Amino acid sequence: MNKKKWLGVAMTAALAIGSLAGCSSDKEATSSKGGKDKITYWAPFSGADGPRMKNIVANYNKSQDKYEVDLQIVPQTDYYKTVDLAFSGQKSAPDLMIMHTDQLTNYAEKNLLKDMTDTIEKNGVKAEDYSDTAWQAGSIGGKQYSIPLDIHPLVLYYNKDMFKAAGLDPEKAPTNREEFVAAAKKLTDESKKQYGFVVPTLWPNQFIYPTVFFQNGGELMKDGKPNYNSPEGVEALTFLSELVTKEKVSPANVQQDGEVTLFLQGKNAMQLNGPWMMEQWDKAGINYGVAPVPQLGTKQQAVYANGHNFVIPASVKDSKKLEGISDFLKYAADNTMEWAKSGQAPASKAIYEQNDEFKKMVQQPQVAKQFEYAKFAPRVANWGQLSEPLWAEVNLALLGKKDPQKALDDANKKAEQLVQK
Amino acid sequence: MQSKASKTVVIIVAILIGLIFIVPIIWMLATSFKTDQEAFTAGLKWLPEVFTLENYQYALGGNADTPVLQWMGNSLFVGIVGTLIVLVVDTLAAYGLARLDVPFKKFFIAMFIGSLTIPWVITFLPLYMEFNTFGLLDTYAVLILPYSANAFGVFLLYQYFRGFPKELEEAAFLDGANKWQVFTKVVLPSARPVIWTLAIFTFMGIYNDFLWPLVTTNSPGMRTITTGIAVMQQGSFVSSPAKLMALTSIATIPAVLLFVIGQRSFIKGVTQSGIK
Amino acid sequence: MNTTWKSKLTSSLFVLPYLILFTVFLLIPIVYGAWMSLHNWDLLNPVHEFVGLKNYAKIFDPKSYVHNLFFEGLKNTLKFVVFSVPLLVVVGLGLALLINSLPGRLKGLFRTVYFIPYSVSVSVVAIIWLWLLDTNSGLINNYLTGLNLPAIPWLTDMPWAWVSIVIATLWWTIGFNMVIFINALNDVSEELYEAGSLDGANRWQRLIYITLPSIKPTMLFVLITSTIASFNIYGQPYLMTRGGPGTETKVLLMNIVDEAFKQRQLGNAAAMSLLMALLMIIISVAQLRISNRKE
Repeated sequence: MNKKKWLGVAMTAALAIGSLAGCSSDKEATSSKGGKDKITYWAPFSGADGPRMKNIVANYNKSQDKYEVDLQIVPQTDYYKTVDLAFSGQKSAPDLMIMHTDQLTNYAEKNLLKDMTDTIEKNGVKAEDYSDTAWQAGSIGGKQYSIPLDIHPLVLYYNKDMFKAAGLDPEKAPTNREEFVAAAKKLTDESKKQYGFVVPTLWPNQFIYPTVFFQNGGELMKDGKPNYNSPEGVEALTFLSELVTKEKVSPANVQQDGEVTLFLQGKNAMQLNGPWMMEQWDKAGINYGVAPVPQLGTKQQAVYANGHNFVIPASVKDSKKLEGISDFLKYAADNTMEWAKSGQAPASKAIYEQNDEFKKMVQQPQVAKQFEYAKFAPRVANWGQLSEPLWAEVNLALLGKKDPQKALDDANKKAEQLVQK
Repeated sequence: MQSKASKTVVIIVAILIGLIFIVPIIWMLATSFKTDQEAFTAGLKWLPEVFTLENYQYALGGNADTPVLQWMGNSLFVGIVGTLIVLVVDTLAAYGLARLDVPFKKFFIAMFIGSLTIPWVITFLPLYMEFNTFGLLDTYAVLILPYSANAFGVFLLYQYFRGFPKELEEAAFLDGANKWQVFTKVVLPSARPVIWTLAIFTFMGIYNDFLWPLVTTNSPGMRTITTGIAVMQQGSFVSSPAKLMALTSIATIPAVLLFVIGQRSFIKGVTQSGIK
Repeated sequence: MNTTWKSKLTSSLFVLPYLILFTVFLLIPIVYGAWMSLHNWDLLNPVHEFVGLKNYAKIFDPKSYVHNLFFEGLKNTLKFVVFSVPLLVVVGLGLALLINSLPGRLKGLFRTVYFIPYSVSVSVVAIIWLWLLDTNSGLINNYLTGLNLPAIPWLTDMPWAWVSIVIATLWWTIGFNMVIFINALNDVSEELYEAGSLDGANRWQRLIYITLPSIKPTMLFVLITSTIASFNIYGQPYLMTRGGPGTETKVLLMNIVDEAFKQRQLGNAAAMSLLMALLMIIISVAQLRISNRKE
């Protein structure tokens, strides 16, 4: 870091005088420190989860003296930009990195990730040790490209004090659509500007809308084509928008993070968000409860999730390094209890099925309850791009500017253009 | 010429408009001393019920995510070094083109002035890739060097030097001075006001730029204050208005103070910038 | 002969440093950018296939998504230009006139006050205004509901999202235009005004027939610089509305950045940048031409 900075200053000075010499000569070699083999490891944990991962790495480094894992945290907002540059070969890539589940297909199909099958066999990491949902996400075209760290599905947060005040049992969260709507209505009091479920119009609809969609038995992509305007999709969006217009359990025109703000103010009784919000509620001192997402759809229980996974860039070939990576991954699998403290539920069965400390936690077991029926983003390479129009149209529909059917028709049309390119 | 009544009306209007410019800043300061909880529910209460410095402690607390002081340092460093480079190369080039026997002079002048019409967006992506190729993204170099190609300063100084009386220089040449000596001893001192103008414009341009530093840096320690705050707003400070306001206050107060102190020179600079 | 050769060499050394910077950071990028725009340039793909003008053809092909990205972004950018530029010019001039009609000692004070926001950066501007305009806890909506008026969805509904962005932009940058106008006004010769009052012209007539024609070059300067600045809008919608509602405030530059860094399609993005630049050049030249013709 410091070295880089001074390299920058030196470059500036050098160029200012008009000399272009001396560009890339003094790049440090990533050599070892005290005879240990160094493994660089990138992760996007710039939030509350950062210190947890740092602890795991530090403990690992202390536990043995053969390898030295060097964790570098790249902020979430810049993570994939940085990763892309590394893969494009113009910046040195790490030896090990974290990748979100919805990104795996994209990088795997471009042959940028290493098939980990051998690595896995050697170090005794087994598929059976992990949640099947999480493990399967990394298996693409018969090869295993990742080892899961966690699954983070959508969860239901609710304000216990508001439940009590409305005469509801604060230990019993709604479990289906009827209970959910009934509770939301009871919790709403227009005169006090207090609402049962404030419907977000932007983020985290990337989680909420697919959840209801899946619960209706629908699929976002079908036969490689976008399927946004299928009846299941339209029903899901109609349901969400009617929470505002018909059931009136939410104000209209909710702005970015408006539902979070109102939840913090005690004016929003329930909200659907990711497990990473836990720390913020704790800090704000809200008396909240956590539960699996109720079945808001008509067909089945399901929940949209994303996950963190360990992957190795295809360019890593050094067998010593690979051994070190395997060793670290094995350690991490057994020691992710630390990771759970950030609110996440690790995908390792040793933790979520067998660890007593874990089971005593408040939020994390609720998250793990959803592992079985959690579903990830469709497995297409450019899902990020294909889904952009969907979020924009969902936004318009929830703001009451477009009829759900029309919005989803438009989103589908745009996504089809993207498929054709 | 004006009646007293109309004068009073003008002053009242001026004060009302002044409030529009000041109130947002005062509201920012007021919020920064509240707790996050109170900030949400404050309604129209301007003064905090519980006066707290907690937000400032948090923002300045050496948190690895929010090295605010380092960001301000980066912004200052980048702005000052960038400005110095521009001043040095632009004065040299402008003097050369205005007075010396530079070959292909007309071609260079036309090219430099023509480049003023080229919007910045055209070089945005290729410059990014260029710095990436040399592994210089996320360094001070990428935050400083691209601004040095702007021909505005060359144009401004070129016009000034052309209007500068030749006699002074000729006298110096007769005394046996060489080009360099004439430039540093005779020409430069006279150009001080124009150089000052250029310095202010360049500094403000670099200091306030947003998209370029946002895209080209990613380690928390390399951010400028502008991009650092933006990242916080979208990251860990979402829905923590009071903490966010403390952060923006810390960034704003020194800038405003410097500006109020330096604005006379700034305004003088604008006058002399050849904007007729 | 030898001395002129030597002299030319030493003279060239004066221009050389700038020429190098100019070449490395402007000329080469321009050529490189044009080169990129002729390729199918996926950041993750090491092979960049030459496709000729296909990226440009896609921008003009209504069936392609790049067409939508470019023209919808352009439409939103143009909307902002149309909403903001007249205000930036007229309000800037109005404030300058107001300041100039203040008694001497107050002039400096108010000039400073109106100019203060110019010293803060765009992210601070956005954050302050987001907080003032917050639908639920914002100061402005609190005052509105206090007066029994309906709360306004400043950031999620049209046309309010544009109103908010324009207000924040005016608040931030108007001081600069104002200062330029104040200088121009001070340069208008007193004699003209004296002649005007002798002819019995009232204030309004003096403004129309004396002030405005005298500061025409400044008006043009402010008009062109404001237009270019408004074309380059990015920070305000990026931070305040994130392009919403839907994509109604998603401006062209946001689409270019997304296409380049989210979708990794640098070829398309480079073609879009080039067209955007071309358009900006045409518009500035047109503004110059039109105002010169009137003369």
